[in-house]
Amino acid sequence: MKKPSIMGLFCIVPLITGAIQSDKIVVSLTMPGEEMLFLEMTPIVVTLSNGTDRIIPVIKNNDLALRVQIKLDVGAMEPHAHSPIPATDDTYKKWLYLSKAKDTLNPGESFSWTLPRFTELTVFSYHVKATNIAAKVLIGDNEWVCSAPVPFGISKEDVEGRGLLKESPEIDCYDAKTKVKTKTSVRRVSLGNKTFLFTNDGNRLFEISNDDVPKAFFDSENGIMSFVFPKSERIVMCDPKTAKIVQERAEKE
Amino acid sequence: MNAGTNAWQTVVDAVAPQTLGLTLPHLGTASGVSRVELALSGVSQLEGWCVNGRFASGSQTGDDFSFAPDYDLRAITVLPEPQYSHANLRQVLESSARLQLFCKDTGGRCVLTATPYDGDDNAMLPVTVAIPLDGNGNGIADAWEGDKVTQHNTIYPSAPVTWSPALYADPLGDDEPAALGVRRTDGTYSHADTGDGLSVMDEYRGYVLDGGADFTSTRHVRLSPALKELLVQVNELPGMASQNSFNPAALSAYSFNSVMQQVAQFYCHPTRGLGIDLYWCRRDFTVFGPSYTPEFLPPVEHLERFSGETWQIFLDASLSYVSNTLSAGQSQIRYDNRLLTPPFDTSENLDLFRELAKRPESAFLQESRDPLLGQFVKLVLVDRRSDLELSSASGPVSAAKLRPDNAKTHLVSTDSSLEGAHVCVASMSDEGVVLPNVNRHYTANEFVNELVWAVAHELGHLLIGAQHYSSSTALMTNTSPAPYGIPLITAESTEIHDVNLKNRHSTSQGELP
Repeated sequence: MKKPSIMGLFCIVPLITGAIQSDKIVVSLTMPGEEMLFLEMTPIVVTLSNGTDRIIPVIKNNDLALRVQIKLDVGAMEPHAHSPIPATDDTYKKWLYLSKAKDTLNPGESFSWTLPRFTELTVFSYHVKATNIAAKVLIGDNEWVCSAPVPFGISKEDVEGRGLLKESPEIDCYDAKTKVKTKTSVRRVSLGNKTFLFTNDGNRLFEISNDDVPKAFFDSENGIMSFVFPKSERIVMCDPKTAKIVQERAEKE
Repeated sequence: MNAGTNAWQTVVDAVAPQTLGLTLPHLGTASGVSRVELALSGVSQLEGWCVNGRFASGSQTGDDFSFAPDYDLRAITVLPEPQYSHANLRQVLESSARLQLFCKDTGGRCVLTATPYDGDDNAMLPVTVAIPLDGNGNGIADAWEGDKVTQHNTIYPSAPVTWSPALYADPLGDDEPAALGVRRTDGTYSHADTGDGLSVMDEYRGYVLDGGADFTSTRHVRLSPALKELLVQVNELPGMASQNSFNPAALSAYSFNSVMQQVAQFYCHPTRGLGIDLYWCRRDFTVFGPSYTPEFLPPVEHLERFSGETWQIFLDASLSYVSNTLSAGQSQIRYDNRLLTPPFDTSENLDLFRELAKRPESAFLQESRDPLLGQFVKLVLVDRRSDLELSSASGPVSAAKLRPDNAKTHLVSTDSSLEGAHVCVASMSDEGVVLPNVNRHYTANEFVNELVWAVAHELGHLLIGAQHYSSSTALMTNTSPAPYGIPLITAESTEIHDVNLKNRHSTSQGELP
């Protein structure tokens, strides 16, 4: 009889995070990976953590925050080094506006902006041949806190050769109960020397091993996908809408 | 022999050859001359008629001097009887012989030999002269070199040069001093390097230009190895001033020549400028990108052109989004974001978006480049720049959402043809409301002043690169001088020092294709 054992949550989420400490106010940037698809749907996350006794104004609306409080700084080969992305221009990144924010970050609190498909970022990064990225957050009058830069680029293969997602090997999903083939499928996409599972609409799920192709099942009642890896005998369950792993466990006799 | 000193002078409209009236003194009938045989040798064959001037038809590489206006003719006879063959009026008179010589290039040169014959048909002593007079043999008229020596010594009185000027001896030389001399009278300033990227020969031969600090009509201009000069190819979208606008009073004040002339006047201003004489060539902007057919959306004739609903979205003082809609606006388009928007984000449309997005952001700069203007830095003046979106207010209506980059310089280290600057004229007339320190529409005067600064600033990026300076009154300030614009600006020592005309961006560095 098989006995599942919980190994831990989110332990293999393929995220690249950079954070740097500045007067105990910390900004971290979480990217889907070192390489992104040109039209990837996986959100990027910018987190502001307040370890001071100050009260920091926060604009929680994504669009507004990108205009007033958050700047994404793309590092690239010269002369594009540290180019601002046009969509995150500096016109409104001033205390004059930030001071009018309706929300605040109190001492000890954190807030994360989850920025969904950000085409401006990927298109811009493709054209400037991005090599890294950092997030800067305005917290006061000309006072910025910056994350550590993380390696970052756009898959050349995806843009120049083909639609990498659509051309990648497809893994059919079977109904978790009836084991009948469903219309849902996922893709096994190679980015650099790594392989990831993606949903068909471009959400990155997690990294997999090249020689351990999973069988996929879809629980249509709960909207949860599960992947069974024949070699490692592990099972990963995730929510395709949020691209988050909800459970990972190993199967043992 | 008087060879006509205007062989080297400025030719205002040289699409027709410049006619030189030659008078050969002492070769008249009174001296026993019965005819004169004239021959041209060493005739140059430079392409076109000046560096960027080309003939409307016929050969571009024929002889630069000829005895006939419409074709090459290197030998001709002058007799005592008046003649007009080859469209060349000529005659041996009592005390001289007269004929015409046609100059077809502003940098042309030749050697003219006149051999007189007596009544018995015996050849007399021939006369040979170089046209133009060129004592130091560098292919450049001595008279022009003399003028430039005088000009140099006026600008650099503490470091005068004498004729024959070693500074100009090499036709391919490019050695304007780095120091600005008296071109800035309020202090001592210097550029990063000598030269301006234009060779002595090209400056001598000259360019056909549409404007500069003191003129706004097309003419041929010889430049100077004593002056730092900047040539600009400007592609302007025709009819911008009469477009619909969120701020029509300001936009209607737009005048291309006035704006460009103010930019040129700033660049050479004796106390605020960069010590540079700026000239421009204007071309129509007509590059609107490829056509394509999306799935479930109407065919698009031009990727980069849209006529219809235009959105101006900005933040008001209370941090609320304000959206203005211009129902009949026009705009250049960068991205068709409709293809990413449900329900149109089909696999086919995503592929199409991916294909279209591969087009370099500054493809319009490359495609509107005049191949004859390879030495000119590139500027495009368009109306607006937007992304194409779907408005759901009254069903799926396509609308152009204005982008924030009203003025931008594109620097691409791997391909200079993709480099250049663009300034969105109509968007700039609209932008006062979006600027935190303005928050209202510009007046007409404020708009023009801001536009002149924007053009001068973006062209500055092509000379110094991407950097900005923190001073709010520097040309390359990182803070908009709105609503005051160019009158607030003075080029500062540090930014002047970073100017390097030899390495200016968006040019083919002097190599014509």
